[in-house]
Amino acid sequence: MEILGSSHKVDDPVERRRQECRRLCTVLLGRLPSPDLEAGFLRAYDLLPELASTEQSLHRLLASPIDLEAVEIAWRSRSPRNPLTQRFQVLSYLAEVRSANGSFHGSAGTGPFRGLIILGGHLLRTFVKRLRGRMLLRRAGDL
Amino acid sequence: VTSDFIIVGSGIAGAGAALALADHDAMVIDVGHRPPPPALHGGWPELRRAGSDLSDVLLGPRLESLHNVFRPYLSPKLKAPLLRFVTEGSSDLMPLRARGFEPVVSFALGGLANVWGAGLYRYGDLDLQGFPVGAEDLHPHYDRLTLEIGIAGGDDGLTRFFGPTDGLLPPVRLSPVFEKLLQRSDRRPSVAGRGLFLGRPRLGLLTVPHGDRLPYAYHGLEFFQAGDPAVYSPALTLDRLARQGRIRYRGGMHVERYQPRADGIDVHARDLGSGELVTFKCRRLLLAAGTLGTARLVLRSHDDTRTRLPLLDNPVSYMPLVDPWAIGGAEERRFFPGVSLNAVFYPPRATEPIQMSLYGMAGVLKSDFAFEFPLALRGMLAANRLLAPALVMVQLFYPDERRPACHVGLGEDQALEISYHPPTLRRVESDLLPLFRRLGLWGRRSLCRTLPPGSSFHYAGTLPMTRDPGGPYETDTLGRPGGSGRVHVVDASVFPRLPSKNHSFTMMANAHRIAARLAEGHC
Repeated sequence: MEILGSSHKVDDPVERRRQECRRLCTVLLGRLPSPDLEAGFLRAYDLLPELASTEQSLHRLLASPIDLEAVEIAWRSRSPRNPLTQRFQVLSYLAEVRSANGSFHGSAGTGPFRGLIILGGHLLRTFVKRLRGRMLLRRAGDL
Repeated sequence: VTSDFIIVGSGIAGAGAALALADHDAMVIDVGHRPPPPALHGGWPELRRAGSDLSDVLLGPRLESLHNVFRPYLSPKLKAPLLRFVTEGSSDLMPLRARGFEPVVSFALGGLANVWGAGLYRYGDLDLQGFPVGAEDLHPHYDRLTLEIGIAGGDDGLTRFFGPTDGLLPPVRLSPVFEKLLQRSDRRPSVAGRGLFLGRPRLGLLTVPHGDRLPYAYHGLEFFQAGDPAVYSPALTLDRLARQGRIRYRGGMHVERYQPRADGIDVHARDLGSGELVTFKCRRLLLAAGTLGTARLVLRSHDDTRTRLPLLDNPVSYMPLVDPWAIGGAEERRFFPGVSLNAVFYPPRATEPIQMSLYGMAGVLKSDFAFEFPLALRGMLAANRLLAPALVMVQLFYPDERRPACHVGLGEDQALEISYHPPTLRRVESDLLPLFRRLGLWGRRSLCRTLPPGSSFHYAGTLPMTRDPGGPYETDTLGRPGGSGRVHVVDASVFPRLPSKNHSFTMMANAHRIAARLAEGHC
């Protein structure tokens, strides 16, 4: 797991989960979570035993500076219900039902041509991310 | 407690039977969970923008709505917290062991119709192949129920599949993507020439006032809460008849078995409040507890743990399509989140058509489907916003026939045991994709999904109706097991086969037909 680099150990599980939420939120939404979203994520840990059961195995991955978006798409392509994707799904639900979340709501209003160009760009970006993710997963090996 | 008629169950068949037996000393016995009061007010898009935390209402205080992240697929409607009443208590009241099947059972007032798509379609003679009754037998009952329910629909390319348009309310308003799709379908007859027909659905949804019910306000909340009287539910009919004193309704009772006597039937039910066993007496008993509920009730009443009854279920799959011209379009503000259009396809060399329902995706949580996009996370969020107005989800129902490997029986511990093997289907998705492309919708075969057996909620066929019932578990045209006696099965248990077409309206019409015959004293 050399690619994961070194991560400083956090003993307090609440603090560790808070850091995890910040990391996931930054990757998914491009910004830090609002306090209520962070509180919701911590509560999800109490309510969903599936999150806690995979916490240890993902801890180093989530604490490392690895390209998480690349790892996620590569892992999702191979196994759609992997614990990393599940965490992003949980966060996605929690973000969608909270506040006026611009990442989920409202129309793009771009029209079809610009919309298609944007989607095309994301397809290309996904292709690159997936390749990079596969490489990272191979190097990580024991995920 | 005595009645001339007792109806067990309050779903679509129970309501059909109760309507025909109103003013004939009829009582409905039912568990009858009711929906919680509506918690969402206003339109779905505005609610999402309002800046409030809708977590408890949309995800549930215990995050129940995240079911599909970790567990086997459950319809978005069934996992919504305010719709959980539909399946409340079902595992206690009806223990099940299922192999290859994910059954859904409801003890709610109105049954599974609380989470239905409100699609109401008449069976024609082609659909009724193998039934001992024909379309002519059912038409008067469809007509009567059309008046009761208030069905929206149109006269278009699907009229020849869906039957007469008499008594229909004006069709449901369409969002632009479906309006354009319908126009393209009209302009391109070559698509119909290749067997694909499009048209407006027949929906139990009010588009104009109907009796004391107001029309639908296009708030788009049907995936999150029930109880809008503009959307038909059997509970509306039963509540009205009970309020008018034309039937009696006994909720909170779970019928466990019945016992024929020389002068009638004893019906043994558990009072769920007190736990006491109560015996009701009636002249005739109508079973409308749903295919699985009725099967268990009949087998328990016969103390039969050996017989295996046949089971039918429509295999169901989804095909996501995109209209490229609608990408990046404006978000819908007012819409109906249920079926927007129907399609009917005659596959080459097939003997019967496949019916499809076309939905938009504006009325569900985007997180329900976002991770299906084969895109990295940021692309997935962009696709959410760009594709949502352009996405069309096509839901296909395949017909089902009686097969030895699919059956239901009663275990020694009184649990219902279900075994189901999916049929080998001649899939039509690959035939459909090029036809939909001609209509401007693009998709990929690899994105099509087949749902696990049981996901359709279209269960049927356990006590099939025939002209000459052979044995105690085949029914005659009046739904009588063995062809005689005072017990009448009036739900989809009596369907000898399941065509592709949604069976709700026929279930209700058949129940109405049998009950009307009883009301006339024909037995």
